Amino acid sequence: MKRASLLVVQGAEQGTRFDVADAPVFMGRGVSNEVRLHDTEVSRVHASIQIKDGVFSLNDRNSSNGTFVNGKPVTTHTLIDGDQIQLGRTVLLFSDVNQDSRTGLAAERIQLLQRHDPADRSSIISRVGQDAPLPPVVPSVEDDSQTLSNLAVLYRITEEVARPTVSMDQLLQRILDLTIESIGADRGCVLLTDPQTGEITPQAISEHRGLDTGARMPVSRTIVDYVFKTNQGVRTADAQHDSRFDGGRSIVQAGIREAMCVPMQGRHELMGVIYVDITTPADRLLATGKVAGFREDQLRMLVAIGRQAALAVENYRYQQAIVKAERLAAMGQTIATISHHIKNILQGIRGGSYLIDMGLNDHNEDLVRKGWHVVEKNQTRIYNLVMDMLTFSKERQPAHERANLNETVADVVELMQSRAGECAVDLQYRPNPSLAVCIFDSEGIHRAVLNIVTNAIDAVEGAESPIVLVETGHQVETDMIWVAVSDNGPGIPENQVSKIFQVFESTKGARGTGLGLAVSQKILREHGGEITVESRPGEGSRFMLAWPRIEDEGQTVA
Amino acid sequence: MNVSQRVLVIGGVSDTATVLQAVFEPRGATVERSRTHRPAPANARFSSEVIVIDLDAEQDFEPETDCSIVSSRVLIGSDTPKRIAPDERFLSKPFQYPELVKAIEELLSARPAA
Repeated sequence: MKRASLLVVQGAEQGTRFDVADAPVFMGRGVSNEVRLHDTEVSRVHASIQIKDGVFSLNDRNSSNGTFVNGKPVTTHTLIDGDQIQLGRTVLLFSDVNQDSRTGLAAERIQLLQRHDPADRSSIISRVGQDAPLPPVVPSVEDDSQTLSNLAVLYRITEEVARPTVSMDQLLQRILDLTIESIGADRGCVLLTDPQTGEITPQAISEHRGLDTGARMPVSRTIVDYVFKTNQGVRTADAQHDSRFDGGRSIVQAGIREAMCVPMQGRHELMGVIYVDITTPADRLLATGKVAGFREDQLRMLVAIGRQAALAVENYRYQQAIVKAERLAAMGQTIATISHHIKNILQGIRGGSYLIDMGLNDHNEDLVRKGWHVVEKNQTRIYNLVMDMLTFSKERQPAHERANLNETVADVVELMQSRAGECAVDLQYRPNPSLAVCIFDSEGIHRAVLNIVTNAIDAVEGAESPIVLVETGHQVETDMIWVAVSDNGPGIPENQVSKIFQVFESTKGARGTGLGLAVSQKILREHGGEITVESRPGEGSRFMLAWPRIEDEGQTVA
Repeated sequence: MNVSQRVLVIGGVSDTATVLQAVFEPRGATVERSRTHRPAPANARFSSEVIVIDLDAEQDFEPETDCSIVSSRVLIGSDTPKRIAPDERFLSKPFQYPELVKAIEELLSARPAA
């Protein structure tokens, strides 16, 4: 099965990855899309990706603002690895997962001929250093044309290097494919030095289109070592296997006839080598009018490509190091925060257990009940923490069903009444009686509203005449369903309003997990909606959860 | 323990206050809870004999410098404060409740009711 992925590199969903498999994938703002984008510039159903005969095809679905690939408008486009798809203000990077499996074969497809291997008869016929000027050195009409061609190749290589990529293997594969095509080689490979072990390992392999020998590509270890030692690019010939010298013999299945090996010199160290060769017999090439071997200018060109590839590898490794450091920091913060909350819950359970123990020893049933109540409260806290973590961690589609929003919200209010009572908070509910059954993920919305109501109760606890008011409604002009939670608590300072939806940001100190609002926002966004907040310090806050009503053929909102 | 001695629990979840109420109120003491270490009005001071303060919840509370609290204190938190006064106790979370109850009993017995 062919598989690919779309990584959002720009937009509200930045960092989110969507899988693309056999089934068509629809992209747009609407809730029914597999790739759901919260971007007002994106149409409800904007574009789709389908696979046919192993090829991924992107189709614009009559979108208002158009679909762009690598900056160009398209109506239909065959996607290749690394393509950037722009819909509205959102940019997605297309990655063909199968490219990885292709490059994963590199180690199996390359035969590194050890020193003194009788099969290795390579001899160096020319060499150039890193500082060799790019060809041509003697101006002529022909050379001018060659110069332009070389510049075009370098330009394309530079573009490839600058394109976003999800793996180094894919990056090297693209550079290698382009190199093979530009230089007219039959095969090529990239060998990189492992930064940890110093071992030289095959990283990518490519063959000229139409040439699929299935044979392993022999690479002379002697030549590779020479290039590593001298930091020079070399052109080699394998005279004894060349049909020019041996009319009756073919090129020995996939043997080396002529090859070039150049260093991949980074800013500070030699990263590896690029190795290309020609296996087509010279007489066959001459018969087709092609040049029967590599030229000096091609060697210089390959040296320049090697330098570009090395810089790309360096940049990629640097970028990966930063990503790894950030990932470790994020993991550390996550573990620390979660541990802290679990510790507080454990503290509560210990408190409840202590009372139960006292009550049992004193035959005091009242004390046992108080203790059990504390334990139960902490069970609920750990349940909510786990559910919030699960909701936040998973990419999921809302489980849409026909449900009564007034009942869903009533369940939340009923559930929270005892908590409100403990905190002496007046929790009021004002459902809109004209709100009919509609389609939404009732479990998800329940959790989203629960988190907001919990926060509101915490916010007003201790305030004078604390009130939390929960309302439901339908805004006809925008066809949005909404739930509003208002409180008369201390309000949120203006400089914190923009932060409260960020994960692990809490204004509740040890009582808050910093997950509740982030989870509620995520659930609302899954519904194509948003949570907005109005708050005035000293006066209170109003959270509005609103999402587009989904058409229900059986029922309509009054 | 003197009758009408007061214990104030500041910050954190309500469980600590609930447990201490169940333990100390039958003995005649009162246990109250405040969400913050800043009494209203701002120049007021807490007048409890013992204050239990959750340092994790009250992150802007400075045990060494905060003058609004003059009672004996039990500090609970994840990080040990730099300095602990002779009439203070520190319990690292998660602590065992008998330790907290014992610490409060010691401090209450050392301070007569106001």
